[in-house]
Amino acid sequence: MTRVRRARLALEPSPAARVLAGFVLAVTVVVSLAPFFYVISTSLKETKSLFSYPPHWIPDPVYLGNYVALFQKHPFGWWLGNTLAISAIVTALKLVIDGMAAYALAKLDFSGKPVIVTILLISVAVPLAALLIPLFLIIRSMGLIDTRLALILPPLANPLGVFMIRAFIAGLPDELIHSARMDGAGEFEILRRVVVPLIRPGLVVHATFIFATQYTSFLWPLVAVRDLHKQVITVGISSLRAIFTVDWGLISAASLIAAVPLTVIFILFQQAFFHQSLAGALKE
Amino acid sequence: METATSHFQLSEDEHRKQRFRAAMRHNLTAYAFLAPILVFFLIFMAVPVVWLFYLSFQHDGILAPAQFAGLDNWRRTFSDSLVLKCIINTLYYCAMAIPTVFVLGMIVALSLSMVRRGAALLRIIIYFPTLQASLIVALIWTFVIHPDFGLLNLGIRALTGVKLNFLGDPHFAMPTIAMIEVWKGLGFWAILFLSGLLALPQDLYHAAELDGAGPIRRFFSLTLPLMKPTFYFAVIFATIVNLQLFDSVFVLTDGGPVDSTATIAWYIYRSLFTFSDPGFGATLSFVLVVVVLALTALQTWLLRERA
Amino acid sequence: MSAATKRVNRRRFLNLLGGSAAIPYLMSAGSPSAAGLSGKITMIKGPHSADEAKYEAEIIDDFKKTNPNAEVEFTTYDWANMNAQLTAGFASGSPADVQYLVDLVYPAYAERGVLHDMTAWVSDPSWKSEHDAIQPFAWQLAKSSKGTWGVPVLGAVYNIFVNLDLLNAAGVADTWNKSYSDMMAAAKATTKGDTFGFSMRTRVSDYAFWDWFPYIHNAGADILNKDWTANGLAGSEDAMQFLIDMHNAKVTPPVGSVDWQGQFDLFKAGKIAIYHGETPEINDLLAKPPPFKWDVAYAPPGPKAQTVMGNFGILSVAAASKNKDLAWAFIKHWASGPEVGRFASEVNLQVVRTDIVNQLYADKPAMQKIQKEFVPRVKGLQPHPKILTMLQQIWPVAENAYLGNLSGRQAIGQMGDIINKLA
Repeated sequence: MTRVRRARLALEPSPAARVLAGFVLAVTVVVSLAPFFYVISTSLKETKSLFSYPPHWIPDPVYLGNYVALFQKHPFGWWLGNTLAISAIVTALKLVIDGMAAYALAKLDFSGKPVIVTILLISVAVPLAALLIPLFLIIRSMGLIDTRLALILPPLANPLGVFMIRAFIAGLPDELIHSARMDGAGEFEILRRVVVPLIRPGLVVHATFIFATQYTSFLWPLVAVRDLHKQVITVGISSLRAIFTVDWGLISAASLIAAVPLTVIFILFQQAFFHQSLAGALKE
Repeated sequence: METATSHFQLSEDEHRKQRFRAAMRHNLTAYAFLAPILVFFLIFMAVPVVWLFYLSFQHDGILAPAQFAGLDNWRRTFSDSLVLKCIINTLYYCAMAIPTVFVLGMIVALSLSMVRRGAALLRIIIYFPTLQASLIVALIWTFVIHPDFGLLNLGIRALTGVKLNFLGDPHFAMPTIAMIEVWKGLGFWAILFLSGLLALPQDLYHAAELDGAGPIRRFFSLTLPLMKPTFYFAVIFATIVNLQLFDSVFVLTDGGPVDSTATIAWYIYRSLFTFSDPGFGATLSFVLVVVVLALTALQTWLLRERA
Repeated sequence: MSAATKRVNRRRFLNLLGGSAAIPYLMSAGSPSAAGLSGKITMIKGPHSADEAKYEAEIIDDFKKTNPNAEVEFTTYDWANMNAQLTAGFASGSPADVQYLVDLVYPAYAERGVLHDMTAWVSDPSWKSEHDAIQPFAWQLAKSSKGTWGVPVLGAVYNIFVNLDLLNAAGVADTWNKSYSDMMAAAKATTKGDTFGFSMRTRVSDYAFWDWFPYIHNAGADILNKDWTANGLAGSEDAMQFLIDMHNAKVTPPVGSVDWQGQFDLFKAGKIAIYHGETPEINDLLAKPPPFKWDVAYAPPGPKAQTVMGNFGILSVAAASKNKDLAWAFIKHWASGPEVGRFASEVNLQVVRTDIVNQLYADKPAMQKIQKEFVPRVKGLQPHPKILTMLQQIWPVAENAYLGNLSGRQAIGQMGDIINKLA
């Protein structure tokens, strides 16, 4: 496995530049993590309030009841499970669908290509909020309201991924494809055996992006699914806000646990982010 | 016309037929590859857009049966002052958030490119906020902007003795939301720009140094121009995403105070679920689509020119 | 007569026939000797406590005692996303049979025909004693000109909490409630350092209009006029001005800086003297007693009245329900004295029945006070289908006014215009 390319900007930065960089990064780290300090602290306290007067920063005693309550009094396990499953399924399906379409757009010639490209390109700009209403009506007419399928199918339609992968494939030399064709390979075989291994890091980038988008989606699951046991984690956590009091201890605990799976996935795959010159592929 | 009958030469007709058949085969294969996405696209994107258009000429259609409304909804869209406010608010937000996150992202990316040890860990930490759902980010930030014990006010009070009313003051509310979204998006853009930086050809820099160009000069004359493709993609993508701002507004301010954080997506949601007015919501959705497309087209045109 | 009209008439005739034949059947179904109803229904409600499911199970188990073949499935919507979930539920074509709807939202659903008109059921003579046990103002909330849309069961009163220690220290404990100017004086007297004399909700996301209503009602005004043709805010300009003055007198936390729960946190920490809250918060104060003496109160009298605001929930039946008889039976059971009384005391809400008030809250004097003295004073919402829309659209004007940018007269004027456009 090739190592991640060492970060290096041309020439050796001067010591002064290094110090400045270190300072910037230190500040960024603090700023990125500081708000979570509140969340961690509150999640370990037996409290409903945002703050107490005077505030106690370090929880004393440390209270694990919030975490327990999440799983016992709320279908938190369901939310987590649903979200992971749906995100994984959508990611897997998307990789196949987008990969195929991207290959066609990048390396195959066919009539009507500019039309298809234009239509798909324009639709990237169509926002989900705009489609909520008709999407709901369509899903309802398919009898899929309140099902997990309702959460899996619509996200498969967004063509943004197609263009991302297309950029990666377009960077591959045509000769590779041609020689494979000469060898008598069918297009699908070429995609599978020749193209995919070469763009694997790009695929991983895409997969992580799709997974994260699905994991954090809120509006569509809110509207499409009512049953709390089929719900995803974002809507689930939102439902923890009761009308009379917000249980900040509970919400804090929920937010932290919700962050774990996605972070783990990102850690596992962040190598690929830096393998592939993401921006290099975008030089179109 | 005389047709050649040589063994190796096909007639022009047969040539054409063969080419045609080959083209058909190509088309078939290509469309087979495109079929899955096109099917989903058709059902879950194309049809909704058409239906949206249809809905915009109706009253209701979700709870009660649809009643033809003619141009009512469209007229309302143009006479409702809140619609204009939403558009302005959304654009104002984009104008604040996008340049800020790009500048900060670039600074962080440059810094990341200069460190050697611990780069992986740093990248994970910096990306961590981006991984959170918008909803959770908003909830978390409620702590940070709290007037008495929030980090920000603690710091600001220590420095200036003043307490800022982040979400209560109509002048500060949208900038506050912009700040929150910048915090959330910083990781993503920093990593994206970093990838771009790492892809730059090193020899140009060596040549520039030999020519006596200092680091700052190199940055402005080499780095920035070379990063153009990345920036173009970034601007367009950022615009599309940020024009759809909803989650933070919904959780933190519900459009207030005094409608200063009302965004187009927020008003669409309101129309559908609080007003139960899907026809108006549909019309607003078109407004959003038009704004997004217009801005995207404008940007694409402006940027393409300079490339 | 067109063929269509003939068809309709025939249908109505058959319905009447069927209905009248059903009356003896229905009456026997209510008697204890019947084997009870069978079938399955679902009920959806917003949670009033973390143990909501447990309390509901108690009610369902009791229902099963007389209806062993019935099944009731209980689900909740979450308050923050209530509108979205209810709308999606109705739109799906298979909403829950029994719906707990608050007065703010049910009229819009009723108008769109997704609720079942319960007029025939509630005026059934065999249910009369139960019907009359529910306060008339509650029935007013559940009715519109087109029908009766639910049985009122629960309510939450928006009362004021006062920090008696702070009021006593400033010597205003006896006078603060006498008039608006007395309240202003008390607020000023109790504001010092980081302690505020007064707080009420201001944010649209906090449904701030609940706190604002009593002052409007006390001036004899309301959102709509008597026949709901135009706004009814005339006369409330002075009340609005008073509230604006309150928010600009530096006796409150900076407008909009603290949300409602934050204000409650401040009150619990002893930093607010007069806090506008809601009765379920009493539960909190009893569970974790604050370090000061507190009491409940309502706003001082206005020129025309001294009212209390409350918001109430009704149990409705979805028009698309496939087992309306079972749904109605379950609602009657839920709304009966023993059941609703037990539930209310478990979650610390008010009931709208007059017969059980003496048995409730014997151990919680504050709740008892609210139930006995405050609930009868309630002047609630006008259940107009667009009431929520109106309130949400006028509220930014109020926010602007509280920030000191509008006078009472201007604010009420602008609000009136908005309401007129919608009415």
